[in-house]
Amino acid sequence: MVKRKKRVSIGRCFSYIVLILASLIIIFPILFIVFTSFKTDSEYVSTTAFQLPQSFLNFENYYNAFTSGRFLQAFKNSVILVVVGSLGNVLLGSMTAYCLGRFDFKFRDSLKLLYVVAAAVPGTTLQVSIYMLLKKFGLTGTMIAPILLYLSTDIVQIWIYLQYIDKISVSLDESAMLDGASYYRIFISIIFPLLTPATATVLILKSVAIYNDMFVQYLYMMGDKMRTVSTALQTFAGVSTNLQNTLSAAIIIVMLPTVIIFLLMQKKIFSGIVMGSVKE
Amino acid sequence: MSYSTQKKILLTTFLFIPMLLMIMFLIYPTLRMFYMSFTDWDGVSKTYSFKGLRNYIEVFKTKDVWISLKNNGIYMVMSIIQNTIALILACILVSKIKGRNMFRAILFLPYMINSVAVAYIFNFVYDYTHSPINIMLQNLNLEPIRFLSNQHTVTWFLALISLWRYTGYTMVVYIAGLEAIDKELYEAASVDGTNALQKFFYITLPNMRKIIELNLFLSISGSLQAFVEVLILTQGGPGHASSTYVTYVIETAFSYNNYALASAMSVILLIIVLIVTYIQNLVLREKG
Repeated sequence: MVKRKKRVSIGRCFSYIVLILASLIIIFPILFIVFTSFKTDSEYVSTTAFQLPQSFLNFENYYNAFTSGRFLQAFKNSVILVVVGSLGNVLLGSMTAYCLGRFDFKFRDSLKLLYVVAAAVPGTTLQVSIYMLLKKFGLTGTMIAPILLYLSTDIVQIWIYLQYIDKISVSLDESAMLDGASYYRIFISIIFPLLTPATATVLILKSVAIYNDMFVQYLYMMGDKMRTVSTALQTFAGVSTNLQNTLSAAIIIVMLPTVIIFLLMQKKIFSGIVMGSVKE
Repeated sequence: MSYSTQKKILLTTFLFIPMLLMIMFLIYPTLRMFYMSFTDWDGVSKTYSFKGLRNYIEVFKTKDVWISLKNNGIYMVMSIIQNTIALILACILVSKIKGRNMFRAILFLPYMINSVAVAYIFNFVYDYTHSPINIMLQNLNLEPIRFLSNQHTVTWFLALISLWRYTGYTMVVYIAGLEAIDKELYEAASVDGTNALQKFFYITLPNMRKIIELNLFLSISGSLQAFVEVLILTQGGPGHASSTYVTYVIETAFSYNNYALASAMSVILLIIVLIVTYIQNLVLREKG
């Protein structure tokens, strides 16, 4: 008995060592950036990454990065993409899931299969032909191109919605039909309101994914006024006169929104990720 | 209006836009990519002629393509390491350990950070003169590391960034899988006197097969498509030492306007992903 207890505590110790080590590896790079972002130019040159800044109230780098990196405009562009993209995904995702979850029709199974195939085909491989297609329509260099791409064929929100729709009792639909409600009415007044938790999950996951994306924005939105947060950071870092301290402030400015969202909605994000990737 | 007519109208209206997008961004580009891979189109001219399989032959003959593919291999090795670490962390975090919610949050945090920001965080960590790692090494009188300019190791360091970013995500999915396993199985095993390692191999692994399969699929197909770190930190350099398949395709299509060759490369990548997925399913089925 005594022996067993001792073994357990050694296991505990080992677990803590692994967890703390892993956490340090995650935190340290971020911490260096935070430290550096508060250092003045001369301070940055004379100190190492491990040294704390003289003052954590020196927001000069943040001010400089925000204005000269033109982040106000970048945030505006990113917000447009995020709002239109995620709301569009909620609409299309819930509508598609309603069709797939509630009705039997000829192409239902092939449609489901098509969504699985879409998830398996690496998006990056198709990007070259998609680019040429959008160029032909004159959409490259406009907001429409990335928005259309963000709205297209993503299985994740359909999976999330389908799992919630399956949980809504069909008897609700049936009693509404006895009252003569149309399918549109049923979707708008019964199904969609009951899908609110799924909608919240989709909204959060999609917003974060669109905000953090780089590939699509890099390909379609590189023009001066078109820059999003991702591409603005890239452009800003390319200016050789910017020292690491200003760049660090820019990095923090860019990463802060999603980190705050994460701290506020951690549970929802975890459950959403699990639901979007695991389906029985 | 009868419900069967209503159903037809509803399906048509609700599915019209998703179908249109599916055709525009999946079906048409796939077919077009296959078709164009047999031509010599530069992406600009109005005309093009057919070259048969010559693009494919050129792809296989280009040395830099093989370097890029080998680099994706490194990302793939890293993604398997990532899954192993994530599974270990998940096993630790489902036990009743103190502070597990905090650890979960910290480990997941990198996934939430903007991909470009992550790349620049590591631009600093990997900076030759300012890198905290090099400062530590110098204090220990060791040689500082040329993270991004040594052509033999550059890809490993870039792949480490993906490891840093995605391990927490994989871990969260594994935690959910572990929590779904029936606790009674473990209790019954404890009564029979099995040790922790045996429990892992005889209860945990078989029950987790599906989730491991899924996570491996996600991270391996992700590793075949890796490019952000490369595009931002090294542009494939030094030379093409750190380019990945995708950055090489982008370069071919958009810098050299060799659209047809880029199409052929994309077709090959698509086939590779499908083959790897197939092999992976085969291997995991055998064991399960």
